[in-house]
This record gives sequence, C-alpha cells and structure tokens, in this order.
Amino acid sequence: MQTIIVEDDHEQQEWLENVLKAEFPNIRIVARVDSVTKAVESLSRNEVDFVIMDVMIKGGTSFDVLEKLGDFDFHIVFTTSFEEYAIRAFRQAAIDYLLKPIDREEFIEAIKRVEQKEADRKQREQYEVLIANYARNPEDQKIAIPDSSSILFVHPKDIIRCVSDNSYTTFYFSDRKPVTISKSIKHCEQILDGLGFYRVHNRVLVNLKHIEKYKRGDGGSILLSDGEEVDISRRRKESFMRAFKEL
Amino acid sequence: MNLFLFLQATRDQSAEEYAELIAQQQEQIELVIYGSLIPLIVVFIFLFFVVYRSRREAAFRKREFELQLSRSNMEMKALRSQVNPHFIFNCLASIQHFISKNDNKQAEYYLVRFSRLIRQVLENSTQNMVALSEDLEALEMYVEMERLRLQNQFEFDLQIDESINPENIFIPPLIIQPLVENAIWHGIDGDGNGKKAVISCTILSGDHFLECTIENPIMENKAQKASYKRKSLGLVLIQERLELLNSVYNTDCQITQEDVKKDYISRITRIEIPLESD
Repeated sequence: MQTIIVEDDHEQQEWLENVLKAEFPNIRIVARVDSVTKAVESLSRNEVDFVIMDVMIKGGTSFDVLEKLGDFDFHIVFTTSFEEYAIRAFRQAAIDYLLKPIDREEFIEAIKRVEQKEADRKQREQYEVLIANYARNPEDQKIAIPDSSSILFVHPKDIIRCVSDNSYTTFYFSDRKPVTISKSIKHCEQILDGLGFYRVHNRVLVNLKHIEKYKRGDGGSILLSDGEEVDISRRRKESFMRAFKEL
Repeated sequence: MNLFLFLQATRDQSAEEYAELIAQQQEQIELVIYGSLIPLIVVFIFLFFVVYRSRREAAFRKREFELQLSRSNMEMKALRSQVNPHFIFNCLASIQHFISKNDNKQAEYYLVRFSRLIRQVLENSTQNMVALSEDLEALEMYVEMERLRLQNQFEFDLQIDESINPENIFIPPLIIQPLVENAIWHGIDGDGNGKKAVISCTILSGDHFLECTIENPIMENKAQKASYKRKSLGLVLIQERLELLNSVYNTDCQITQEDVKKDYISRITRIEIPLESD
C-alpha cells in the first residue's frame, strides 16, 4: 500500500512510521508532509492508497486538503488531540478517528482493517458532511446516520426527536419513516450537539424547533410537531426552559 | 302647668333636632375625612407592596447569586478534588520508570490510559451532575491506573444494588473517587506480606440519596494514628463539598468513618450522596 503521512509534529510522524514499519511490511511510505500545501501537492502527484492525517497541520487543517483535492480515492485514518469542532464533525459524518496520544493496539487495528479491505471506503458524501460541518456552514450541515446496511444523510431540521431503548436509538423525522440505529442516546446527543436539540428526558432528545406547545405540570410536557407529547423530567426543566428561551 | 309641660316638650324636641343635626354634620365630616383617607391608604398599601416586592426580589436575586456562586465554587472543588496532583505525578513517575527500563510498550499503554482518564475527568468536572454510569467509568479507569502502578497489589470490588439504573441516576461528579483513592493509599501496606488487599465499594439507593460504602483494610499502627490525627485532606474536601451540596439540594447528607476490628482492622467510610433522577 502506497501511504502518505500528513502530520505536523515530527516526533508523531516518526512514531507512526516506526509502528507501520514494525507491524506492516506491505505498507510503503511515499511521503511525510506537514502542511496543507505540501499535502495537496504530494497527494495529487502520487498514486496513493492510504493516508494518515492529523487534523491541525501547518497552514490549516486536513479538511482544507481534502476540499482542495476535490476528488480522491484513498482510505484515510484521522488523528486528533483535543479539537472539539473536529471531533463533533467526525461524529456527525460517522467517520472514525484516533485520539492522541494514540493507543498502539487501536492504531494497529485500524490499519489492519484498511489493509484487509474490511474498512468500507467512506462515501464521498461523508467527507462533504465532515468538511461542511467543521466549517459550521449552517445551510450545508447534514448528519450521517449509519444503520445496518446504509448511511442516511439528513438535515438536522428534519429530525423531530430521538428516543432511546437502552443501546438502540430511534430517530423520528418530519419527512420520512423512523430509523433505528445501534447507538446510545448519549452518542446521538453528541452528534446533535450545537444544532438546537435538547435532552428533555434521559430517554428522549428533541429538536427545539419542532416544539409546538409547552404544558405546565410537575416537570411539564411538550407537544411536538408530529403530535407526540413528551414529558420533561423535573431535573431538566429549569435548563430546558433556558435553552428554549434562547431559541 | 300645662304650658310648662308644653314648653318643656318643644324645647326637648328642638334640642333633639339640634343634636340630630349636629350628628348628621359630624357624620358628613367623618365621611369626607375617611373618604379622603381611603385613596391615601390605598396609595400607602401600594407603596408598601412595591417596596416589599422589590426587597423580596432583591433578596431572592441575592440568594440565587449566592447559589450560583456556590455552584461555580463546587465546580472548582470538583476539579481540585478530582485531579489529585499527587496522583498525576505518581502516574508520570511510573511512565518514566517504564521508559528508563526500556519497556516502551508498557510506557505507551500507561500513557494512553492516563490521557483518557484526564480527558474524562476534565469532561465530568465541568458538570454539576453526571450520570452514575459516567462517574463509575472514570472511577474504574482510575482504579485501573492505580492497579497498574501498584502491580496489582489489590483487588477492587464494585457492587451496585440491582434496583439502581446507573444511566438514570445523576450525582455530583468524582465524589466517590477521592474516597476510593484514600482507601487505596491507606489500604495497601508496603511490606508486601503476600496477601492481596480487597477494596470494596458498595452502592445502595437510599431515600433521595445514594449510599456509598467503601471498605478497606488498614494497618494497626495506622488505625491508631488516625484516631489522634485530624482527618485527611481528601476527606475534608469531600466534607466541604457535601455541605455545599446540602445547601443547594436542601439535603442532610453525611459522611462517616469508622475502624472496625475483624481479624484485621477494616476502615469503613460511608457517604450519602444527593442525587437527581429522570
């Protein structure tokens, strides 16, 4: 596999290269680059199968590199340390990433999956979501919802609510049938963070824009645009009201 | 005689009329006085009400501000009691030890766990309440680090009452961890008599609070010393936090500690933790 390492920290470059050399004889490292310009240049000049990319690099981000390349056909393993927006964009695009410092075993596992073609090639649209959501461009923002067979791309405004059943979460939409995925509600809450959603109950996440009415009561309840009534837990009422008013 | 009676009668009559007239006038005067007093009283009541309300609001705002202040203080305290500097430097020293032994893989493994724990702690400590499941996740990561550092010199036994759903119970973050930390630091004797210490943590649901009991063996000389010495700093910090929580949540949660003599001396720390649930 023809491989390029995009990473601005030279010690980290060396670490990646050492692990790759020790564990993967089939991997041939074509280049080690540390900036947006150099990455774009070497990625468009070489035939590349596989790229390891850190998010923050000299001159911008790896997402800038992908945007500039436009069309590409290689596997990517992303690494990042503490970039909140990058992590959110990865989650929203349903793309895996490795946290730094990188766990050696996890890194090896990720490369093995790429090598054995077990990792499915990410869809073009997933990268588009990644780039748009990182730039926080509200019109283009979509989220990727992977169910067992395919990935659904939806606008957050079309999601009315998410309801959890232990490790499964069901999404209810305004324009299509419900979809159940095998992710926890906490994961979904992280995906939808900053997009106007609120966890009114341990089991329910609602889109604040789809609330039609608030009914008083112990915690109170809300009527959603699809006619569903959802209870608000008492402990979340106060902060819910705050979030609702900010809207 | 008759005339006298007649005169008397007319005089009485006119006197009566006169008195009646005066009474009527008096009534009118009173009416005017009281009538003009009513709006005045209304104005006074209104003013009184306005002043009272603004005072009450000010007092309410002050209380809210104080609560907010104590909440932000609590966040700080959570952070402070969470990331015990002693523990951080011990971890770094262990990593250094692996590096100097050229045990690169172990050093890396340790470093990655350490960074994950710090990440989780940073996330949890910004919140006033976290799901019990998340708090226990951080606790177990912490215990794993200590076991690694102390070469598995102890066993950790975590028991949660079946009636508790850890996803659905919310507690102040990292209040249990420092107690487990104390238990580990006091519960393991350095002379290594071959016996593995067992540190247990049992969580039961009480009436509007969580009851957490931590039990660890303690060396005899340490137990005696402890009775003279004041409480450990970790315990004092927890106590302060608990008092703040009690004032915010209107509870009366307590922390107690006792040493019980079995075939060894066992230190039992019991804490009641305020909780919220959905």
